[in-house]
Amino acid sequence: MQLTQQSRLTRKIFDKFSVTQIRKHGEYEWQDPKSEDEVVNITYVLKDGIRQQVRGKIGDNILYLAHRYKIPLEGACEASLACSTCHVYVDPKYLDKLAEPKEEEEDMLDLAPFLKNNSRLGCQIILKKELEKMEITLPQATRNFYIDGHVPEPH
Amino acid sequence: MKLILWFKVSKRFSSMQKLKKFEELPGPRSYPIIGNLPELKIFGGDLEFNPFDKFCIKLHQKYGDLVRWSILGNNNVFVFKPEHAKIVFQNEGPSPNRPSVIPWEVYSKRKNYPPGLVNSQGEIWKNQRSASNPIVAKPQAVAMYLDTHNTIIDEFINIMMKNSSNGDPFIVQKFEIELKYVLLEMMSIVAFDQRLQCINAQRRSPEILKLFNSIKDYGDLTSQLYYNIPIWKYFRNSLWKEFENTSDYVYDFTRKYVSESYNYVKNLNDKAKHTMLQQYLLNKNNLSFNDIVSIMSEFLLAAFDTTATTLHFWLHRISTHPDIQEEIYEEIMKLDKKDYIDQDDLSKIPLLKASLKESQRLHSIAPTNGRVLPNDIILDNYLIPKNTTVNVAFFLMSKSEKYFKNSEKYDPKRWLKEINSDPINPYTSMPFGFGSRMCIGRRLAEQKMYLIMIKILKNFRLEYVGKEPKLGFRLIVVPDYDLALKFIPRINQI
Repeated sequence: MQLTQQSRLTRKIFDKFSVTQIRKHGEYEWQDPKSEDEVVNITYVLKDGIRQQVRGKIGDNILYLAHRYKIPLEGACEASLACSTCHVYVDPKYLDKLAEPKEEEEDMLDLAPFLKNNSRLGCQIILKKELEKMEITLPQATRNFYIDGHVPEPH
Repeated sequence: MKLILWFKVSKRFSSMQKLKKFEELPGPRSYPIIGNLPELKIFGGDLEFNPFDKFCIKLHQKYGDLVRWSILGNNNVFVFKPEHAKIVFQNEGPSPNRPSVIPWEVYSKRKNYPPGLVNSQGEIWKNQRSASNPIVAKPQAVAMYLDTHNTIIDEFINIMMKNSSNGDPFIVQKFEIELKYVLLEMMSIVAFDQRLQCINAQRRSPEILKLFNSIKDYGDLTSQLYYNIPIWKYFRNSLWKEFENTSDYVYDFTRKYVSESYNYVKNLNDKAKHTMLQQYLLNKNNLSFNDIVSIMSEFLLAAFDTTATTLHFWLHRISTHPDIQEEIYEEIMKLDKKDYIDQDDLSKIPLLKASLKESQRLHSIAPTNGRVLPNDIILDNYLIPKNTTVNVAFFLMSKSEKYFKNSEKYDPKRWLKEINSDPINPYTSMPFGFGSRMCIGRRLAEQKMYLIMIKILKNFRLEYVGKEPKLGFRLIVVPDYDLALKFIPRINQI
């Protein structure tokens, strides 16, 4: 835990120099790729282990792309970095290929249940060619719904 | 997790000077035991709780962004800054404690009813919420109600159309009442498994009219009880009796329908699509029959006025901004669908969604979002001890020039900036609250409101023909003006 925290603090310092990010609202993800050059294939691994392959494109947001294909990634705050309901685990091989998380993202991740070293918020991941064949795994539960993890037995 | 938080907090504050105490926070003069009681009007001061939004405004004007308030040992902090709101909600804990609506709590206790989602805390809340989330809140669950919602709104639009002969414009003086009946109908099919048949004014039964008025009075009476000296806690005065009768009507109404549904599903073993109530009754959960009655009654009581109010303000904004209305109309027409609006359509209407968000920014109906925190927190170098009630006043932040340029202007596009050069701090406007205790009906309410707006705007151009808007208060900030609208059918343009 301490180690994770250390690297996070370092990341925060770098974050001060990061470029501004483009914010979209989910309609872009509905456009099909215009050519094969744009295509980025990724796989979502659902809670029950089901693997769902999705043909995305450069510039797609992981959260909104999931919405298009009815993958249960919530996104309660609509990518405004005020919740952790789009918490995902990123295939470790691809972790370094992603843009560094902002401080706000780190703050929200700290609140996410089942946090791991490869945890990220889906709404902050934008597809690019290098992410071809990346796997995104959904956690057992997210903060807003995490109490669902406990299924009580009937009397 | 706690360790990390502590690490962060200590990192952030270690360089600062010694922490100040709660008592040192800005706020009115406080006396031993009674606290700020003398500030209240009835004791000669100049503050009063009702309307509560005005109370918050006065505290803010007089004492700034972080204010202390205590009465009889009950310590409160009022938060008017997004940075503080963030700290508060990040420290709400896994089972957030939201201060109870006391009159409702007393009512359930006296009647020996279990509390519903609004007032339950701790394990009881967890149990109710985890049973409810998959039925009410999860995006996939909400999509299940699209069919019925589409049908009801289409029926309503057809009835509206009959007001117009040959596509002539017509005026509805109190459109908010019609809206409320539509919402009641949409609610009843999911909560009671029954159509109440109340969209059409001619078909409303006396029972429905009474239910309608009871729900309306309920908020008003709760406000009067909640924000005045709680004599009713000690003996049943006339105000309490009136409140009790009103609540009884709603609870008995709900109980009747839940019983009917219960008897029906007992003999049911098909795996067909079930309504919300049937799912509550059929799912394996730890809820008792009475729990379900309480939860359903609360859906009726807490969801109806709030949604109707939000729609009222939204329609008013849309009808007074013809340019925005036209752009939204174009967005809707791009959906290229006849009548049925599906889940995919709802993800292709960014401007319409932003226009609701912007309306909610300007008309935040809840004055404050409260939390009783499980741990100490630090705000502005003041130590806020655990168990303090923290009230976050989003409704003032979301209208403040500090956080929104041209804050008075209704400008939905401020939410659609393509380049995130001037991002909006999300902790300035949270109309449905935050986290696991966020409004459970949020998505359901949004879905209903989007559908209503899409279908109205698709069929009519709207013009507001009413008076200057005024605000009132009954537990939430409500419009105190008629939503008088001119409906200009779009038929000729298709």
